[in-house]
Amino acid sequence: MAKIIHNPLVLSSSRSAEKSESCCKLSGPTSFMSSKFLGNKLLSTNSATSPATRRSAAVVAVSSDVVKEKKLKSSSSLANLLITKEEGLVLYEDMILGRAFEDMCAQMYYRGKMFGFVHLYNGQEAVSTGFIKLLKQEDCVVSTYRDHVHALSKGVPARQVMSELFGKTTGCCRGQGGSMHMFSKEHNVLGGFAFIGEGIPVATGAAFTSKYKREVLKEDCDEVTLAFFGDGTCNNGQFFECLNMAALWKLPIVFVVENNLWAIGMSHLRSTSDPQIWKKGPAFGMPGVHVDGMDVLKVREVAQEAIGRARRGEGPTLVECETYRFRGHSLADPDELRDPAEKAHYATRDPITSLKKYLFENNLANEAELKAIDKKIDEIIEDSVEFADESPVPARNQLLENVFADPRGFGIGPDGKYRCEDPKFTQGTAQV
Amino acid sequence: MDKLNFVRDGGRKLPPGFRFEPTEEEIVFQYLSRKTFSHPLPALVIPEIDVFSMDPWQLAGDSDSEEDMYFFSNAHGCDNESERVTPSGVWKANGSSKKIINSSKRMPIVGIKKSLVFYMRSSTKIVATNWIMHQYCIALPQQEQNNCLVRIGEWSLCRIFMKKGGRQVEDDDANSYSASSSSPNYDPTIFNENFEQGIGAVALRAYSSSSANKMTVRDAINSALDEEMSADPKVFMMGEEVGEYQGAYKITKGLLDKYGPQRVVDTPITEAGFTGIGVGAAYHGLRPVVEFMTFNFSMQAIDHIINSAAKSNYMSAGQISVPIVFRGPNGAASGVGAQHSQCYAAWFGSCPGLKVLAPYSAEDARGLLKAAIRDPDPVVFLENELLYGESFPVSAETLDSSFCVPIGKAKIEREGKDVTIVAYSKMVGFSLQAADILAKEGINAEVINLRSIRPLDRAAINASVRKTNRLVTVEEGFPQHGVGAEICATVVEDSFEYLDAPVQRIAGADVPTPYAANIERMAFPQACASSFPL
Repeated sequence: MAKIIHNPLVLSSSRSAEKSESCCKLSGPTSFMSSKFLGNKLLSTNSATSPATRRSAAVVAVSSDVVKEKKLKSSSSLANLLITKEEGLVLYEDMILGRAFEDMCAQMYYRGKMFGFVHLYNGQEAVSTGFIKLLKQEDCVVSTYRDHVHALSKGVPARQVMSELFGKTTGCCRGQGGSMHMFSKEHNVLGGFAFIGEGIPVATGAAFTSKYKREVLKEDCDEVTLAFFGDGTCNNGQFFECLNMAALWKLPIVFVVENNLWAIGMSHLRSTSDPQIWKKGPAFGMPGVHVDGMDVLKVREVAQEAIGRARRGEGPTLVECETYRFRGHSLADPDELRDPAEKAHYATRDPITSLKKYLFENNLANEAELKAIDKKIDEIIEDSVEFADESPVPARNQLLENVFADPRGFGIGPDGKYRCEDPKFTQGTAQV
Repeated sequence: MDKLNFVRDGGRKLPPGFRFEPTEEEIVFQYLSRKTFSHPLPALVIPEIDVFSMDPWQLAGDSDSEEDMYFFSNAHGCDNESERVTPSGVWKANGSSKKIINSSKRMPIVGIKKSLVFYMRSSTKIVATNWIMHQYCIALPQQEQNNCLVRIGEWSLCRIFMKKGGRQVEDDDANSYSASSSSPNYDPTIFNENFEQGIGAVALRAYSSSSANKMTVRDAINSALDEEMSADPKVFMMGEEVGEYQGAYKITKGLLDKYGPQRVVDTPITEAGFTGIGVGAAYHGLRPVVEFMTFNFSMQAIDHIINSAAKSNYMSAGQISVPIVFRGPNGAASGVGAQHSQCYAAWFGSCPGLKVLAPYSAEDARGLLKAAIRDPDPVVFLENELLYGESFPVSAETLDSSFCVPIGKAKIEREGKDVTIVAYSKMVGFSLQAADILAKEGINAEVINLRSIRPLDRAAINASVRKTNRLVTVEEGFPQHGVGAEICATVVEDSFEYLDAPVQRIAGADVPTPYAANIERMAFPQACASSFPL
């Protein structure tokens, strides 16, 4: 079975057939592809590609080797399971929550209850779950527009996320943000940004704050920040600026690349001179790690190491998760450019089925328990849709609220008093 | 010079600009230090009262407000744990003390804060009330006595308030005595001569540039940054050359030495990156001041200013506020060419969620920058390079550490009745010169200094136009969609019948700024008599 999937990337785009051939000749993409070859077996050696190719390529950063060697040791003994039963169930539940939620979003969108731009995360759950389930509440997550599942994994209740998507006032941002702008101060989800690359400096700033609190304010602070972004972002200038500054100042941040090979319709191979993103880390002085993003256990291992590094103050890490989105870029995307064979191949590597298989094979859970979790999640999602349906739309005065933290920023009115003090203003009937 | 007294009948009546909400560091290192070392306070904001001679509810005097009360009182009670008796009860210390260190300077004086609760005497016993006092004193670690803290000075500063439901009265940890660090290192050159006066360089700076209280805009901005960084350890500066180079225009001179590289951060040349980092830090609780070497460079970071800073409070429905200040020189300098001379007031002024300020004089610069740093929203602070070296007279209240100018209020620089001239930043100076020239021709012009581009003080502009019936707007920026256009529209909408003539806009020429000096002069408004050939 493994042999059939050899070199799937060649099939990825019929248009760039010539390109992919030339790609094969480069040492880069070949080892890149062979990672998937190995990555199919959950219990086998680590996520990074065959040690031989990796070692030669990774001469630049000693620390990459250190990370990989550690992983080789830990996963080589079968008796030493990667997770306990409780952890396994938590991971399973989180991934099912993400998947069920996104499927429900699609349904709701086609029924007209959700509108605008909606970007779904199906297929990438392993990355979100693998990383975010290792964080504490005080740690921060910054994401892109594909942020529903990041918010859910971090702890924002499904009800609030669904209401936000419906544009109701009970949403996590009172309906003012929308699908692409999920913010939660309580759970330290710092957004939800529509511009790719915009979240990376913001995440770096949150990490800067963590270090500042520790060193200048002398507080006991070991918060870590995770920045999630895609393969397209890795060609953007802000990404490199932040890699530089994060490494320069040793900020407690992990840069997580969700490389799903496609930026809307632009294949990663067509837009990037060197498609191996993990290599860009060592160029700036931080370890760059490549991991199979369809396997939550491997992601979790790498995440543990990277987050641990950041918490100990050893600086940033760049983690490239090779993953895939099962649906189009957004619900408005007809998804015509991707090769069905590629989609089929990745469908067989669905992270949820892989985890299920692992749990069964290692007797960590049985069918009944997992079904119970499925049912529980279904109920949560149904409840959240009901809740969102029944919630009210924002009141009129909400239009002018929250523009400023200090509403005196609306200035002084004709009567010489601050306009925000005028009762008509707050009721939404004054002229702006 | 008159000492300004804002204390009447025991109550404090501050002018609108003051935001008197001092942090603990500010209480100790600005107000109490100066009082202790007999350095005159620029304005009397805190009355002197023996707080134990009256009951707490009597201390409020005539004023009814529920605000915290601040008094200078004598310090003798600070040394021991004894109870202090008042007519109807007694103040008892709750036993813990907190050390307040100036995390910025390497100055030995340390603040000590004690918390006391007022117990009322009732027939046979005493009953705790909700009146709380925080008493601050100054102490010095005595090196010979193992750095044990010894209180100095005659004064203590007392904050007295009534505890309300949600308010946390800190349970100060006596362990905080053993707090951070190192033996107090101080720079003997600053300290030895001034030890008699005892005050650090801050107070000196406030007075040093003065003869009869004049201050350059550069010093105004520097002192405002210094005081704000000293008052709140969460304020930090970030930008190119702000640290070791002492500031590209020497605005941040001396701050690196005082506050260290963690708080005055020299960045690589990455506007988008470091502006985003500033915004992220502001999201998460710090108060950054991001400097752009000129606002022309802000175009590389404008995505962060608008999309992640200005819009975030709205998109997150108030969960995430962004208390950040973006400052730097704006507009034309001299002979710097097209890419370094644009004025950005109009661009930033059209964006909701931002506050945009443009100071003119030293008082404006100081007050507006302090207001901006204390403001919980993103503020764009447009300075002007050619104004940095200009000196302006400053009133005594300007030098107080709490002095702020309210955001959104324009200032009438010169009263008049024949025509209103509205300007901001450097153009205010030109307008005043023009007004003088007009006066010789018998025209009495009123000059308004906008101070705040967003929010625009429409009320002041309209009131003035209704008085004079004619309006001229002056700006340095490009004419189309400029600040003058907005002002004109506002006046036409609100005061149409009062206008005797069409509004005149004076703006920069609609061309990228040329380099050659004579045509560069032609590209910007100049103040000159009408018959002067250009």
